[in-house]
Amino acid sequence: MKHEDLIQKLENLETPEIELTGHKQALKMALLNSGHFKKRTIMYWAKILAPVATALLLIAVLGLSAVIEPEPQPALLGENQISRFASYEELQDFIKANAQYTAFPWRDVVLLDVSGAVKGEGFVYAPAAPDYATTNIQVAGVDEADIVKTDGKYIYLVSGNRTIIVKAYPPAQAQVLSEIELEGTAIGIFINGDRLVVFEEGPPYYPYYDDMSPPPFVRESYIGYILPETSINIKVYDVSNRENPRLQREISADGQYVSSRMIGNYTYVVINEPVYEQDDELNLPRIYSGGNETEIPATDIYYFDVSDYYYMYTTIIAINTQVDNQEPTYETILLGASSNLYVSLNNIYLTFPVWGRDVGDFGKTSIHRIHIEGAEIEPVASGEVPGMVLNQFSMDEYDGYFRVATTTREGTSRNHIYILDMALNITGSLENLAPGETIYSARFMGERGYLVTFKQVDPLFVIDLSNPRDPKELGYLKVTGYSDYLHPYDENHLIGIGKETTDEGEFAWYQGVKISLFDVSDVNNPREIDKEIIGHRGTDSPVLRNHKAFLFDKSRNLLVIPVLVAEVDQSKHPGGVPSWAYGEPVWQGAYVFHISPDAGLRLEGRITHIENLAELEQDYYYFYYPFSVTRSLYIDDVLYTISDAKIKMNNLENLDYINEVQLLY
Amino acid sequence: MANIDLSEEKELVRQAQKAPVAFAKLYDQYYPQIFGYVLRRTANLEAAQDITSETFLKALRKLWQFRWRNISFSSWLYKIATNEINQYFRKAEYKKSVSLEELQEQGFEPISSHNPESELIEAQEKLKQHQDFLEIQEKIVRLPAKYQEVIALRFFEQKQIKEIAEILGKKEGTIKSLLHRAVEKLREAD
Repeated sequence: MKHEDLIQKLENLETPEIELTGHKQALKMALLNSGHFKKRTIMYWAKILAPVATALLLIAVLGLSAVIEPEPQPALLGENQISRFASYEELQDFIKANAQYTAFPWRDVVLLDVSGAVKGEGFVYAPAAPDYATTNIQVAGVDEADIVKTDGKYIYLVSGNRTIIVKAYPPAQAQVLSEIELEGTAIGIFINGDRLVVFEEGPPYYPYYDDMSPPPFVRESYIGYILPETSINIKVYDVSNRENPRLQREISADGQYVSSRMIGNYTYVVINEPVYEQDDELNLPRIYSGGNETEIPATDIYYFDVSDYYYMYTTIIAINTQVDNQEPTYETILLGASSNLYVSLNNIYLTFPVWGRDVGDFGKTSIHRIHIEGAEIEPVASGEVPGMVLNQFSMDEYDGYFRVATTTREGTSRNHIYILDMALNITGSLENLAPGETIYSARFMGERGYLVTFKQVDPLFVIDLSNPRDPKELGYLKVTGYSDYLHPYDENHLIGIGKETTDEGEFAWYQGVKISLFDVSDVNNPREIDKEIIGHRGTDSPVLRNHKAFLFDKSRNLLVIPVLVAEVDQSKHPGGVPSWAYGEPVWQGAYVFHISPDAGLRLEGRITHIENLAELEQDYYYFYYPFSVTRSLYIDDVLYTISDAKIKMNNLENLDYINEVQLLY
Repeated sequence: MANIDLSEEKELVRQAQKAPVAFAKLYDQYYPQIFGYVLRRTANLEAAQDITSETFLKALRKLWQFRWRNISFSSWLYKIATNEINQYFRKAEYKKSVSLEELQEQGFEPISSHNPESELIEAQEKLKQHQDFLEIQEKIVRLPAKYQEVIALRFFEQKQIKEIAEILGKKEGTIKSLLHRAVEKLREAD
């Protein structure tokens, strides 16, 4: 064929024009839900772009040869032993010998809970309810920072770059007392007596873009876009006068906030900072406190002998919130990019995926235990288990053992439970649960563990953990739908929050939000004693991703969750509604349930902050919307629902409106 | 292919970063083109779904960089898609970014398993009917990526040389000579 003829053939060729409407619709929903539209703050940039910037920086400093030519062999490494570097040069050599910058794992870096992570009280049941609700935490006595806190009289909350103190009780007198404006973004708070701890993340808060141009602090370089280094400020305020909070101290570090906990008077903050080389020098972590800057010397940095694609300094800072002049203590460990953390009363467990040679090829999780006690921070042990950890609820410490649930994904996915001793050696395991499925939620409660795996139907597994050498599967229950979050009701009942699904054989369509009440008193035959399904496909609740949005109180039989309700317009599907059809958002607010094993789940009522529902339908699409209820709590007999726009107060008995406080001016 | 008016597009892109409604509109506009392009490059429905997903996810993430590059939005999407396709051909297994999987774990089913089965079967059948195309496509994918790109963009996507230059970030003269050589190579392969 001649050149021209081939051109003509190509020009006249009939090419396929095919569309997959299912894919088109699903991808659209996934994109709109991907979190990009949720917050109008600079966190967007920081969270999404910082890892990119890091990667670019690595390219910049290492040169392209390092990118293309992998270091062929990592140095021979011994067991997972903890040591400190003998010198700065040793640190430098270690990084050079072990970091395999062949590809950029930033794609896989999972940043930890940012504006609120996960969840509930442990197997210690809600203490005889005081007269107000605290943040739903995982381990009793280990508080987790959140965007809303109360002390039973005041509500403290953060929104964008503001921290607001509201007089909340009695509700008739509710009003904003004061407001702290930060330069950066407020990402979480703790309240401890008269001390308010605020975590502020830099770069500067940048309210919103009306323009496509990047924020002023992003600069372009020849390799791409460089973001400023992120930093974290920990600010402690004296709020003994709630109308006039006074900044008592400020401690800062370069890097990114990973997570924090408060145990007794001490706040522990975990910060990650990438290790990079510039002009042949490695950066070292720095702490700023009371105007003094301290560079942590290489000889103070712990490391575990593991090879990784790249390294992060993970710094843990302990601050006594009550004693302003007590210097903070801190320790830095050289690790990979940690992906999850679990904190018991005495230990911080950091986990991160161990990468194989290819990006994405990670079959193992490395675990590090750091002992904490007051101001003491001491890395003590490390170990490894097969598989990946889903979130903090996949981990637990009980009676001198650490338990973890993981999923391996090579070939057929499989799920496992490992029990490790305090030296992080595996003592017992239960492997290969639910082949083909993956863990959606996990919960450890003393000598029992619960696991929800999912592919088409939801098996809830009950696992006996009483013998740390021999965990056993006791029974399981298969129902439609799955739970993203499991919360103990009492020792024999569990609450599950997730989605309903329709079984389509090979796969399943997610439907509305599902709340289940499980009876596990017969461990061999767990039962679903009641369930409630809210809305159609497209319905969502923040509880599915963040346990702090969940409010439960057993003594009050109270369960409250924020929900965005979507409904399918049946008139659009005259031939019957197909199960893949997405609904349109029609309502957002808090669902209030009465819950008990005897009466099951009963909807008591719903509370919304939206004044104009038409606006929601037209505009909402899950993006940032100041009238979305994000949290709820109670003080005495008053239910408080909180959005960025307002705090609304309703009578817990009958949900009658009492009062509200405007937060936007 | 219907195009949005340019000034409207500019406005949409400006808004798309903060307003999902605007992003959704851009998506609706360009999804068929991008999916079609990827499908015609790969002749594989599964891959076309994965790559299209990646393309739009990356586009959403990088939206803020867009105006700096000073190319049309459609060209920019084609550029991202082209990079993704090349990656797909380079690797035995196309790695989807974890972010998308994470998204799925947060409550979205795997996007590729999203189609009613009947739709997928129907699409597969439709694809098979284009025998002439599939034959030549098979030869094209054996050419180096730089030739595949220009042939597909020129003949299947019916892009102007100027647009191809924009998408591939090369000079128009370069595109012309690449195109000439690409057709030559394809002819030799015949």
